[in-house]
Amino acid sequence: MATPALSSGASAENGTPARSGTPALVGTVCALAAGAMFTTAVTSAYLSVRNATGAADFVPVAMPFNNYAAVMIAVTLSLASIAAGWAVTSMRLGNRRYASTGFGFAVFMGIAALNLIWFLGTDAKLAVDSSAYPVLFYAMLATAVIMVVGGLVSSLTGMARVLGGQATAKQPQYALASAWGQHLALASWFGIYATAYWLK
Amino acid sequence: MTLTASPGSSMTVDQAAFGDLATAHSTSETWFTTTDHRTIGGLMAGISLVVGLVGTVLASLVSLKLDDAVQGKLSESGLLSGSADGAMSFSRIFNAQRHGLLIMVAGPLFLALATLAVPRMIGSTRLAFPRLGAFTLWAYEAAMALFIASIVVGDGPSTLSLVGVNPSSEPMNHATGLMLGAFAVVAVVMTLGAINIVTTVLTQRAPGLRLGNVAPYVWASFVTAGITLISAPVFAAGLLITFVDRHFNSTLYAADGFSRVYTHTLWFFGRPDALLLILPALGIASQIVANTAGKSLLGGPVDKILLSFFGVLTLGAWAGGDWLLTSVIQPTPTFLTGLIVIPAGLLVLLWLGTLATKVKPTPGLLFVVALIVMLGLAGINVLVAAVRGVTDANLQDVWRINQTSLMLTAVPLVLALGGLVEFAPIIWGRKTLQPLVGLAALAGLGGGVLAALGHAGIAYKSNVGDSASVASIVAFVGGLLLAAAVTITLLNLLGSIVGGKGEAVEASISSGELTEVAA
Repeated sequence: MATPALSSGASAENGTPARSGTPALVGTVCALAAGAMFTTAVTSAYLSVRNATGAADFVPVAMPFNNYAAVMIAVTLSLASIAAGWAVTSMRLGNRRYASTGFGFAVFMGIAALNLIWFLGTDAKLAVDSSAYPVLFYAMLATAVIMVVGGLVSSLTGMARVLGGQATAKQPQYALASAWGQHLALASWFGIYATAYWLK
Repeated sequence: MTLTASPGSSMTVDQAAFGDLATAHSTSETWFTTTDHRTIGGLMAGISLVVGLVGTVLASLVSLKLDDAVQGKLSESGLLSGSADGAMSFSRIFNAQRHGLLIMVAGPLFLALATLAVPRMIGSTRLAFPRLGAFTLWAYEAAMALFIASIVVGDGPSTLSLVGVNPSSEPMNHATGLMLGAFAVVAVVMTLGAINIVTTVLTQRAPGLRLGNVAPYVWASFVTAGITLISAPVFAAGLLITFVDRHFNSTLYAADGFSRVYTHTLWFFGRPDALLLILPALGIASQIVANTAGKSLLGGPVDKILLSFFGVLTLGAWAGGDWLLTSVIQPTPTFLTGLIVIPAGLLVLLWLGTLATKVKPTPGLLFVVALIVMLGLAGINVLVAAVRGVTDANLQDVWRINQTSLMLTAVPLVLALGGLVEFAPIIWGRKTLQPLVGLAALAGLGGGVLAALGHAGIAYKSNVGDSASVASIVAFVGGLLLAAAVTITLLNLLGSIVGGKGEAVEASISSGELTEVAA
């Protein structure tokens, strides 16, 4: 059978065209855009219903704003993000041990953040059939869980890439892409925190 | 300049042997563990088309049921029973075919075709993330299983409609939960698939192939995937909110301000996705014209600018208020969304200009004719509506149903069939049987037009209280013709590619158009 031509451009080596970019980074940027839209959609829904209801009447009187736990989530996710950044820098310097430790620390902090979000949800004790607020509040917490789990998986992947030798000092893209996942989780929580605790 | 893969030098090229799908996937293990974009895209397209086939047949039956005269006979026969006690209720089937065609088939069909064709058209033999491609396939199959389960479980998800204008606040039953799950998985599939397509186009192009020089269909897929990246997560967010609301039996749907949230996160016609279904169809038609003419479309990069303009305008669906729910001219209810007629119309002029020179017509061109006729009818529909006014309650459903049937069901489905047969040489290295291509195009055109006119007629007759027997039969025939187009295309592809009856060709994309050389 004849081998078909593929496409225009210069000839490819070994039949597979050379890559003209870094797929891991481009794919991660796309994923970040999708994640940002997801968080924005949920917070926008909250603000839309809040504005239609009237800010004064929207939040139930019994809502216990546990600002301490919410701030601790932000601090925990910030630490996770810093740890992921440390991992990337270590990888660029060729220190695999520090890089894997950094991602491991980010995973640990991610799990701690999940625990705190769960506590925040159970601590609220909102009667969900009373108004629209509890549904949107819990939907935002669910969004936070999804984003933090995404960051956690991203860090785990980064650690596996580092330990497996796929991320190296010369090719730190995989480590960088994994760290971005962790940063998105932090940014999402800031968005949710600002919506639910500052704007209310 | 043409790039040719050298024999024996690459695992992906040789193992997956162009044009010999049966040999390439001789074991079931290969099918289940494959990361080959053609197998992934082929399976996804096959599932979409089979479900689309079932959907069009159901739509035909529904159109008969909509007529009171036929309704009695069907009820007597036990088919489409009106009761919910174990038998398939009418509302359940009506909901299933609407959701099935618009959400479970049309979007994933675009993704499947892009997965099949885009890598080959940019000089690659793989997706940027092959395992992610495999994941999207299996996740789509899981979503389809959930969707089918939601139709048959209990009383069905009749309390949930993302196509209807009246969102229900009834508590969630098992079927509704399954349907929400199916839609959520499809939203994830579309997002991940879009990431894969965008990354593939940006990073896997052959050396020397600039982004601005890619084929029109590649560009259309790139723009569609880019906007899907933005719109699919919003749909997923709406589903999450709905799930929490239904799970806790809350009253969110009745809350002030929620109708706007519903309109732009969940309701199909209030999201860019509705208009986005047409963009790949325009890309396919542009590619068919370029292939037939053997040269790039007139105007250099103008076709890509117009396709991009169309894509950006689809975002205008988010700019309307909650009044969109009751607007008449769907899916272009606002001035901003109505502007899509400009890029679409200019693209048609580009096609005609490109074909104005001496061109040997091919059966594939009939798909372009079908698209122009259907878009033209939709345009005439809007003009007539504008002249007659849209205040007549008896006519409002007519405009809406005619328009949505043509633009959101017939156009994406028929042009996807055109894309599959047109791109077969570059995907599988074999041409499809050309007489069957023409037959499928004609059946698709006839089916699309008759189904739209028939359903519009049923709406009018129902509103004025007359019997709609003739309109029902017209819509029924239209649905069957659409189903015939899908069947003919599937059989043509199976016979030509797997059965080896199609002519083996060397195909390449050069300067935007496909060139074929008999092997």
